Amino acid sequence: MMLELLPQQLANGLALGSTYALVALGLTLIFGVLLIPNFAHGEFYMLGAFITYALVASGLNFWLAMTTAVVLVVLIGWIVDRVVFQPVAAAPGHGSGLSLMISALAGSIILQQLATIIWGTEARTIPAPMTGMVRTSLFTITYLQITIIATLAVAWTAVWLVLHRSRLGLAIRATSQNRDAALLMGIRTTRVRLATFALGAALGAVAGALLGATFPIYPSMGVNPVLKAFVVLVIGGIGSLPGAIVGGLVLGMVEVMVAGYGSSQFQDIGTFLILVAVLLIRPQGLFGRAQVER
Amino acid sequence: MSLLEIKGVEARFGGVVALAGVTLDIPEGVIFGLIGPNGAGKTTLINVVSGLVKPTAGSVTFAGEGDGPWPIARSVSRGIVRTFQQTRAFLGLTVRENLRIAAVSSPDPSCIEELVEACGLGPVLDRTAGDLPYATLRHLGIALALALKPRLLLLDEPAVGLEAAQVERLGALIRRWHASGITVLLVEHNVRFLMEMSDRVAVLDRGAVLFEGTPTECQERQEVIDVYLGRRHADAAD
Repeated sequence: MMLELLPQQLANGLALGSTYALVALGLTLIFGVLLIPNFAHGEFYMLGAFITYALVASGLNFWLAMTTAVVLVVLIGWIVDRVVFQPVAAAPGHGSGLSLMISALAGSIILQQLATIIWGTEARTIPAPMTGMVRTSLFTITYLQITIIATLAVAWTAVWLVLHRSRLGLAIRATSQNRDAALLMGIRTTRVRLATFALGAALGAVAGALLGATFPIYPSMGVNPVLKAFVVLVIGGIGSLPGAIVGGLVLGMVEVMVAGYGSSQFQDIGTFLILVAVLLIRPQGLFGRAQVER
Repeated sequence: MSLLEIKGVEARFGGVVALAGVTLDIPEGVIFGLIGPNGAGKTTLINVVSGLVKPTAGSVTFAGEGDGPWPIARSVSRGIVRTFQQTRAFLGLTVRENLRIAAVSSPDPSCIEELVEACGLGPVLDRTAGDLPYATLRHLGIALALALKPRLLLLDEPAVGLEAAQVERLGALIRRWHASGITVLLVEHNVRFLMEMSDRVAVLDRGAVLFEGTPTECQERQEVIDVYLGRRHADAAD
């Protein structure tokens, strides 16, 4: 049925999946290393979009505006960590997952309200930094979509290089596996925490700025993507970076296919059917390792 | 001269008293064995000395510095290093990566090569730590601790789950590094191993020190036999 549309659907799915993967990459990093279910990640994404919007509106070039937004969101991320998460993590037993999740929701709401006070609830759009598209006989794809896909590739490579080719990355990976053992090995976990939040928040901000040039932006725009990103984490395997990429792309593809060949009303049903299927068949996710108690 | 002085250390978790005023002096250069029944407070005492658990009362003096115990990072920088009953290795990283972490923190990274040889890690350098056989994983944990060049090494049940030949190899490894000047606090349920290894022994019971002396004296003391050794011997006879 309408097989000739398949290449176009795949291209659209790849672009949508790349945005999910970008958001999920930052989320999985913070979750995997610091065990924080950071619902406020959606607000890093939202602030990335709004700060880029505000700077572009004041006359700055889009790419400079995005870079500045990334730096500012990293600073905001550190403040959120200091104010929202560290006091809970310092509690006896390093804070339970539930208290961290409630703190994350509180942080998310506060940031949304602050954005509402500053920018109001009206939806806005960031002028696209580029227009035009590539047309082939099989599909068309916009330059912006290509940029988003390329950004995902660059972000993934950069994060991989940091984690696997630097001392800091080794310390991050060690801390993610066993925080107490990392402390006992003399690893400066405070530095690891700062670096992880910086990377995570930066990825969220980049995703927000790029998506803000495609879709309308509003203070609660981060809620849906962060929920989707949590689904991506479960599909790909919590804390797994390849899992975030593949999970994001799978989710994007499925949503586009369901909407294209079925109905857009069933789009979210497709998402959650995959979630349930993964939980039943491979609960640790596609790239997750089953945990063995020793 | 004492390297570690533990004075009146108490640790309470809610209504549970894990340590009820423990006082111990551990001289520099010895292997000091710590035994006692399950729940006697042995691991809690190691947790206090290494900075994982804050005591509710009491103090720790290490190498003449008397304001301890200190948080983990500060304890490590003073030379107090520990192993865990399970493992202190990073299970998702390769053995080589585990050792790279140790090399970053080690005051003398050149010792790592010697540790690889002594702990038999050469053939498994590129294997993920989580896939190692149990005994090799325990040796990796000890290698990581030794790489930090501790003045005081706290070993929490290093022989648990090992076969006789592996225990013997572990003993040789501990002796080799002890001979280089490391003081060892050894917690162990394998009484024969502990008595063979230790210069001095203390027995903990219900959070308090029941006895302290040489291994020979320890095995002759009736209250130790009643509380711990008798039970162990009876278990062994079963």
